[in-house]
Amino acid sequence: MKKTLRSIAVIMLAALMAFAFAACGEKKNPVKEHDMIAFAKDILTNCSFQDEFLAEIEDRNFALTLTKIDADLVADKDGVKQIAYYSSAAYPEMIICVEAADEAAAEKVMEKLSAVVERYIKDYTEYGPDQVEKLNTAVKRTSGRYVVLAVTNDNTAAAKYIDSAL
Amino acid sequence: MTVIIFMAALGFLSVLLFALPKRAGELDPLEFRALANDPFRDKSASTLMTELVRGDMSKNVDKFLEDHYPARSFFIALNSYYLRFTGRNADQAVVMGRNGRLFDKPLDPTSVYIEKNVSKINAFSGDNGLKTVIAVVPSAAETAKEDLPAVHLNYFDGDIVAAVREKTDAYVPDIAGMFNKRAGEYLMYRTDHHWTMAGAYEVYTDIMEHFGEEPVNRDGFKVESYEFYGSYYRKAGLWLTKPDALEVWTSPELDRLTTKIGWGERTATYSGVYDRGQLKDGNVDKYAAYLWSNNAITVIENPEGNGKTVMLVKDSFGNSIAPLLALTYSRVVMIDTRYYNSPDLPLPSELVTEFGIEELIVVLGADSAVSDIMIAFLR
Repeated sequence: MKKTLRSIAVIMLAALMAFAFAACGEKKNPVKEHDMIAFAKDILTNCSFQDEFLAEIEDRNFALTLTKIDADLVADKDGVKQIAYYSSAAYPEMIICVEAADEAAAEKVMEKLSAVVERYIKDYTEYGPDQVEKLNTAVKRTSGRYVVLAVTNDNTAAAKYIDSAL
Repeated sequence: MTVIIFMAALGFLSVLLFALPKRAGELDPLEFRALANDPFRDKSASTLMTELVRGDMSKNVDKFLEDHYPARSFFIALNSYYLRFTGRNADQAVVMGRNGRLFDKPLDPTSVYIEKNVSKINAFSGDNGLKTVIAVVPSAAETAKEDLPAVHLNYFDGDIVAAVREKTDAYVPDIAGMFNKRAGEYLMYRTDHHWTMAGAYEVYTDIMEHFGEEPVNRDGFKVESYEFYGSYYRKAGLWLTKPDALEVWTSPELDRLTTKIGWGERTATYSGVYDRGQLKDGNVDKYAAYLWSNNAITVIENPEGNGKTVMLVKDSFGNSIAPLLALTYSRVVMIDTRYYNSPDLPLPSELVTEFGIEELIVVLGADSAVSDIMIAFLR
């Protein structure tokens, strides 16, 4: 009886290990290709913002200056830096979508975008505390070399939209 | 027995935590911040699952429990006073001084941003041919030293102002010198990092004399006073600190000014310079009464001004000096370093051309001068 139970336990452990190794060897889902400039516009259209005048900073070099992202970290298509930045003059709402040069660059880009949010939190804590919750729940996502930051009027819904689309 | 009492106390507080009504999302009047929202409310199962997997749910729950713990304000104050009376006052984020004055932590005088910020201002001033004043407002640690506690860290606000003066040909007023000559007068708030209206008036007078303009006479103002708890009070947890008196200076001339907030089709126009709704009893942020708080661009117009327009680049310090400037100038174009980043707004150099601006005044707190402020917009 003892021997039988021991054998069953060994077989089950071996099966468990086999499943674990199988999971390790599983292929990652390939990252979808995106046009981040178009994606930012989709976020603007499909998510809710308190500022109806959220506008795009079309000067992409200036967008890099404002976000303090090194130009080398951002992918280039036909001489156009792949960063889209929509900002508000009245609220801390924003959409920043970036196609980074590679995955390692994407991590550095996300650090810079997190710093943008922290800067806004510092300012709005003093003078607009009712807006700080939006910043605290900002949607920050990285998928491969794609980086998204969105501060909207309904970050829960925005997160759902971005997660499904990214 | 001790263990039983301890467990009973914890258990009682835990019961209260779940039983008492919550103020989720409401503004706490002492700390002036929004309390955490219910982490589960109005969220679908799939959203909650995503938050659980990402680790956000535990953070949200922690924040919620922290913000809604029973008698939270009492425990914050208990801790704050305990730290200060057990020899750790000097090391706190807000230092308790004498005469009910609170102080911020010292700033870093070696910050690389001093040079970056001043270079940007110099470049803008040079490119646009502007006569420039850079007013760096030191904290009360420099202007009200007599109120510092016996034991405190070294403060370097004087060094910061000197560093700015060294890097520019613009006029940099000696605000600490002006204020120290009038020691004992109410020129800096005690519970807030800002100067009072009287402090702003002293610097306004100095700047007007530098530009060869006649400052308006202080005797022409009537003063209204409102109870006010400032930024240091909210951070410190020292709820027994006496309030400041926010002064609102009024005059028929100020009432004749027009304030325009925003640009283009988003412009809102108001009479006078005060949002009196912010001065009601129970309103926490009375400082927001000056010029409808902080906005990317504010234009104040005076039909009886000197015919000139001045550009005022500011952080929060500009709001109390701008109305005084508007009594001299026909127009004050005030832009805020922190919010001037929308593509809907004209470039500052375009404003110089549009309004024929010849004079630039930059007013920053010393904490902004050493920080990474959004000066990139100044082009």
